[in-house]
Parts: sequence; structure tokens; C-alpha cells
Amino acid sequence: MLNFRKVKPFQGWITVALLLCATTSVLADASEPLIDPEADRQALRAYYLKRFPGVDIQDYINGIYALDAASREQWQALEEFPPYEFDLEAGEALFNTPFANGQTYAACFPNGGVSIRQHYPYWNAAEGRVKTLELEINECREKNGEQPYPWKKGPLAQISAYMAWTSRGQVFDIKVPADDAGALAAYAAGKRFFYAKRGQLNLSCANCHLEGSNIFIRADLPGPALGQTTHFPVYRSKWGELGTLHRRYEGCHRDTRSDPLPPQSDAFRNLEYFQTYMSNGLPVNGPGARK
Amino acid sequence: MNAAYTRYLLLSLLVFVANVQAAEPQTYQQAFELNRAMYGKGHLFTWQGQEFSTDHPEELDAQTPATRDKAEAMLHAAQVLNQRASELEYAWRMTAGLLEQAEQALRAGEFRQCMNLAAQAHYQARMSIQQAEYNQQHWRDAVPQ
Repeated sequence: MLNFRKVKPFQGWITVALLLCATTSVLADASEPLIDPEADRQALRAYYLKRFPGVDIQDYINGIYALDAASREQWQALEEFPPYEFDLEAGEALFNTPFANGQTYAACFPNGGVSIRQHYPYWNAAEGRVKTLELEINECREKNGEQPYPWKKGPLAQISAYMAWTSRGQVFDIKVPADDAGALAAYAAGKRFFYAKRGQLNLSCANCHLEGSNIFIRADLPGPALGQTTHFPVYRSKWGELGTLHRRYEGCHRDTRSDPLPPQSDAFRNLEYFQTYMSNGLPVNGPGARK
Repeated sequence: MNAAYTRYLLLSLLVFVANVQAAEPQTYQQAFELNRAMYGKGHLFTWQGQEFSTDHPEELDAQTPATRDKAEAMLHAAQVLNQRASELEYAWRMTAGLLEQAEQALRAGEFRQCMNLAAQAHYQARMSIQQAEYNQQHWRDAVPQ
């Protein structure tokens, strides 16, 4: 033990200073692994409230159309005859068509698959991974002896769109169990993916969809991170068809000149987990129409 | 010329000199990046009394005599490094294409071309791993608090 009586005053101050530094450093290290999804969500909301004070938080489900009046006007005109309408009809028909074994999608999901979009993605403790709606649609198919659909577009996107449609207005309520280290790690991995710069262009999701919200990147205005997942799947005018969130993730990732990860990879499911948690409290408004 | 104007000129000169001094690279890496950005590859620059090249290590390697063994070695090294970048989920989009082209050049016996392409791929893989390592330490800087 240090005997302060034996050290001279100057040496004493040095000792105290060193001890303080050591304590601060230990505290800093100890605080690093803390994962607090709710604090993150509140911080993101506060960021946007400060950045765009006139915009209602609930309006962020409309993406860039919440921030840019001219784009909103065009989008509203587009929504008069929603381009995803035929896909919704196809999705409903697919959803209600029994598999060859006579079973249906409804039997695979709680509440018959109706009005459940707001609970996806979720942490499946038994499997130790994040489950997305699209992942479970394909799992349902395989369980019933059918081939899985491609992840990015087509029937999978149509069924997902129909399920989102039945959930419109329901409020996102994604859970990250505080007592489950796996769930917290998946959430943290998604958060890290969002903020880490990638690709030859050295861009993170946050570069475009946080700092870059409503700032022109060439001719495009990137949408805000808040509410970004609420309206998927989307009919993108650029695609000329309906596509899933992971199709968009893949495209964004490629745009940074990264070798894009595949849809439904662990990294993208974790990213969806983080992003959708950020949208907790906002209503489901999928499917959507975007540029 | 009056005294006030002279003082103004002297002050401007001092500010200019101070700015030039401040822009002087403090480290070798800063000096390298500054010169690489200004002159591209194949340029010589002096830093702290010594002469250096603006070439990346891979580019210097690709300037050695072109042989099958050398081309194969450079291609293999680039493939291994890009595999590491892929495992980190940080591989860049164009690197795989460069490696494919390098393989084609090797098969065609175009060893110099293979070495140049492998050098580019190796550089990209090295930078992507560096990016992953940097992010490990710094990604939190962008998170709103």
C-alpha cells in the first residue's frame, strides 16, 4: 500500500494524478462493451429532431419524402396509383395458395401470418440468430417440401409485401433482450455495420443515411436512417419492380465498391435488426414506392 | 510605398510562410500520400533529406524482371490477402475481377501483365484489411450520442 506520508508533496500529486488516470482508463474500457439499444434509439431521434426541427418523427416512415417537399409531391402523385398494387394481389394469392402437401403459409406464423410484420426481425434464442420475415417465409416453404424462393425479388418479395400490407399501421416493437448476450451481440454487430466505413469509396451506411440525409449525392437525395426499414419491401422505379430490403442492402453495399455480401447473410440480418429497432415506435407502412 | 502598406505586406508574407510551414508533412506517411496524390506513381520526392519513390510496395515489386515464378508468387500472395479481406467481410468489389484477369494473363504467358494486375489486387486487398482494422478502433466516432 502507498504511504502518502513518506512521499513529498510534488511526488504525492504525481501519484494521485497517475491513479486518477488509471481509474479513468479502467472506467472507459469498462464502458465500451455496454450495449444500450434504447439509448441509441433516443439518440438517433434526438439527432433528427435537432437536424430537421420541423419534421414530425412519425413522418420519417416516408423516408426522403418526409424531408424534401418536391420529392414528396412526386411521390404522392405516384401513390395515387401505387406501382406495387399488382404485386400485392399476387402476394395475397401466393400466401393463400396451399402447398402441394395442403398446408399454408398461415400455419407457419403466429396469428395466421396476418398483422405480424412489426415483430420482425427478431432474435431467436434457440437458434442463436436473427430471424427475418423473408427468412421465415422460405423456411416455411422448405418445411412443407417446397423450394425456397430467390431472396431479392419476385414471389418472396410479393408475399412479404402482402404480409406487410396486413400489418399497416401496427407499431414496430422489436425486442433486444437485455439478458441475452447473443441478442445484444447481434444488435451490436448490426450497429457496427451501419457506422463502419466500407469499400473502395470508404463509405458507411451512416455517411449517406445519417450525415448525408437530404444532401445531394450527385442527383440523389439519400433518405434518413430513421424509419428506413418501415416501408419495405419497396417498388423502386429504378428497378421497375418490387424488391426486398436485403436487395437494397446488397445494392448499397455494392455502391460503396464493396464486394457485396449476400442477402440474408448474418451481417445483413443483424443490420436489419439494428435498423428496425431504431424504428421502434413508428408504424408499418410497407410496401412502399421509392425512386 | 507608405509604412502601413509595408507592414501589411510583411504580415501577409509571415502568414503565408507560416501556412507553408504548417502544410509540411510531419511523417513519412503524410509525405508519401501528399506526393502520391500530387504526382501519381513513378515520382521521386525528398523528405527529411532522403529521396523516396511515390510507388506503392506492390508497384515496386511489379517492376522486377517478369518471370513465370514471380508472376505466380505475386498472384498467390494477392489471392491469399484478398481471401483474408473476404473473411473480414471487407473485400472490395473490383479486387476479384483483377485477380481473375491476372490469372488469365498468367495462362496466356503474359507475365508482366499478370504481375501488374496482381500488384493492383494486392494493394486493394491490403487497403481493405487496413480499413477493417481502422474501423475496429474508430467506427464509434460516427455514432450520435
